[in-house]
Amino acid sequence: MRAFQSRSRKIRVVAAAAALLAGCAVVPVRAQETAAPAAPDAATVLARYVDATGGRAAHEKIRNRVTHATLEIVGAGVALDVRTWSARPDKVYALIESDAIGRIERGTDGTVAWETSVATGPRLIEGGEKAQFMREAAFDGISRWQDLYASAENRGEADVDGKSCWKVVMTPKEGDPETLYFDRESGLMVRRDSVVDSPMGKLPVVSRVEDYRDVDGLRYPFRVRASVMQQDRVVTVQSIEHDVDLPPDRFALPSAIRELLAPAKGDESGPKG
Amino acid sequence: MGKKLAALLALGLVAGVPARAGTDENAEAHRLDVASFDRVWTTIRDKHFDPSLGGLDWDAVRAELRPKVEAAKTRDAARAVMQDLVSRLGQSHFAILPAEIYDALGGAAGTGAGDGTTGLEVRVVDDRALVTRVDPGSPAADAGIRPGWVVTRVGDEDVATRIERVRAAFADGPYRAVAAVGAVTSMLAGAEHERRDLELLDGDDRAVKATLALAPAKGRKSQFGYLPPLHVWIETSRLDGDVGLIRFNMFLDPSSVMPEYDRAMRSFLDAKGVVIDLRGNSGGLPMMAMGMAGWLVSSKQPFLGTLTTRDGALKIVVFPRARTFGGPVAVLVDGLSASCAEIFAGGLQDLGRARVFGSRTMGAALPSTIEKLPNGDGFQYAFADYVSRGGGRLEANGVRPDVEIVPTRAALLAGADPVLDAALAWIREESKPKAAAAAVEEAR
Repeated sequence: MRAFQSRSRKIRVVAAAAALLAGCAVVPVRAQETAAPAAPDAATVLARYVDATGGRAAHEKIRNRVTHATLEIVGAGVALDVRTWSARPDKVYALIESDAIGRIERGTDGTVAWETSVATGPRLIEGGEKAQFMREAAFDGISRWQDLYASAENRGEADVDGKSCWKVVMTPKEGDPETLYFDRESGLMVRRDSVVDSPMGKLPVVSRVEDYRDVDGLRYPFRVRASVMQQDRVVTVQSIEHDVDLPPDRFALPSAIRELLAPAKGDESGPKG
Repeated sequence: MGKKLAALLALGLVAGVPARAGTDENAEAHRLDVASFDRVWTTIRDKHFDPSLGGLDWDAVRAELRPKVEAAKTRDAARAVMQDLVSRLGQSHFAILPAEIYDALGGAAGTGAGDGTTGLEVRVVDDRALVTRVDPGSPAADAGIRPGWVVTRVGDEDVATRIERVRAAFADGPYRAVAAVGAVTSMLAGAEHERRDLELLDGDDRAVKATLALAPAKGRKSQFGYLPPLHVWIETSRLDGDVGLIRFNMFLDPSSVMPEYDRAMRSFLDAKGVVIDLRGNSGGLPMMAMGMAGWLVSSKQPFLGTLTTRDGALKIVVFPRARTFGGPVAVLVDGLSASCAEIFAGGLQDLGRARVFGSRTMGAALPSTIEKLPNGDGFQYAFADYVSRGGGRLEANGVRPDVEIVPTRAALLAGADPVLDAALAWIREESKPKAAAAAVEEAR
């Protein structure tokens, strides 16, 4: 389940960075559907994925996770450094840094979802975007998918890059459906089609989830390739650590966000005559 | 980015590019040029925001031009074919950037070549290189050069001849004006401490000679992706009459520009008005326009315009700050204001949040990216169309100012800045009723 968490967040960062750079859209990579064999139900496929990434017991031992990754905008010579701290039950803080676009922070303390960017300023993440953000912030998201999704349906077999996969459509309680493809042989997720909700609009994203590696007995994808608004992004994980001593204010709201939450106090300034 | 691009292109027109050397190198260079042509053609086919390419028969264009690139004997010739290919679209932000030009300007590695400046800001008016601004403390200022003078010669080269040559090459399209300025700017540019022998006409049309040792360019050297290193600067001040002024040359390097912009806007919250001077601003990152507008707009998530790709539309939204400036805002533009500067000015104009002063902007507002081709050249292409909030298409049209003013030589010689002066006069007028109302309130 945490493997799913980690992957989701990386995909999310890809889309967020893409939106901020104002350059995105998706080259649909069409999975070739074939006649559905006798298919297990979606819950079975998802449970197998949890097992394939280490098993529920191993996942539930983990209290927090720190991920360091790089995000490359392919062909454009732009690379971002991405560090993500996440903790039970639904706390996240992500720090994205690059010379090209400056510093971006995103996070949630479990209640408020927010973003600050040196370029765009501070903002609250709200509406459908918040629902999606909080869904992906859930530390045990895939194992308690029934809490987050209204339904999950196995639509049968599909081919993804020559691999026979189960195509599972997950419909969240709020937001657009996501389609996940799980390798029938390994049980691992290899592709995710989603629509990222942002204030700029909805961004369809097709992500390839690759290079699973063991970390403390759990399996994580170390590379995610995404196509967003005609531009390719690659997230490459550098390291993943578990159960790190986190500073007590790791998930605290920044002052600029607290200002936005404060009651309006004659907010428009201007000539006083 | 458009201005720099045009400057690069302008340089490309005048810089000789060596022919290929040995036979093996020839074959490899030729192979890379053909591969680059194919990459450009395919990228446009697959990624252009309009799948129909405006009705252009793209396969026919390929059939016509690929034999030409196959027959090209030099990189220069191959590049000309690729430039022809992208020009068939008739849109801004599609260009081939010669690798040699990168190198000439310091290249991706940033050698420092070309970092020197005279401190002169020049516009081409009536085919003459008119000095519109002289940076205080610069070599040009030290030499006594003043706004309103005309640069006629740099070294052995006649400025008017160079302008004519470049303008002929850019007969149509949005880059014509900026290419002419780029041609002059490139003559004045060079490495720090290099000398430039200038001939000018002063305010009385007398010929004046000056030798300037190039000083370090102002601002911070910044690099975005495969763009060459660029010097990005921002200046802020509080003018007489209690008006805040912000000038910056590009929407780039957010780590240095945005904190200064934010600091200035915070200090201007009680000002009578704010002027944002985007004259000569060549654009950059839309995300910075979003953040800057957040100080000026208080309504919930307004947007400046819409980007459209073949896969969907995205709004350039504004995230209002906790406290915003509610007074009059003037945005100054000219023919060199491009891309993101146009998005910012046009969006605020459409929102009714700013009054725009100056002359029509470049009309080069397509969001673009630059990728490296197999032969080492850069390929800039637009990946989205852009429509301003009010429904106007900025590409080729530009932003039309609410108050059109073109600075004249006479005004510049008189020490005036007619565009800024008009903006300040408007802000004074806008402030009056509120001042009167406040006075009445106070009297009570």
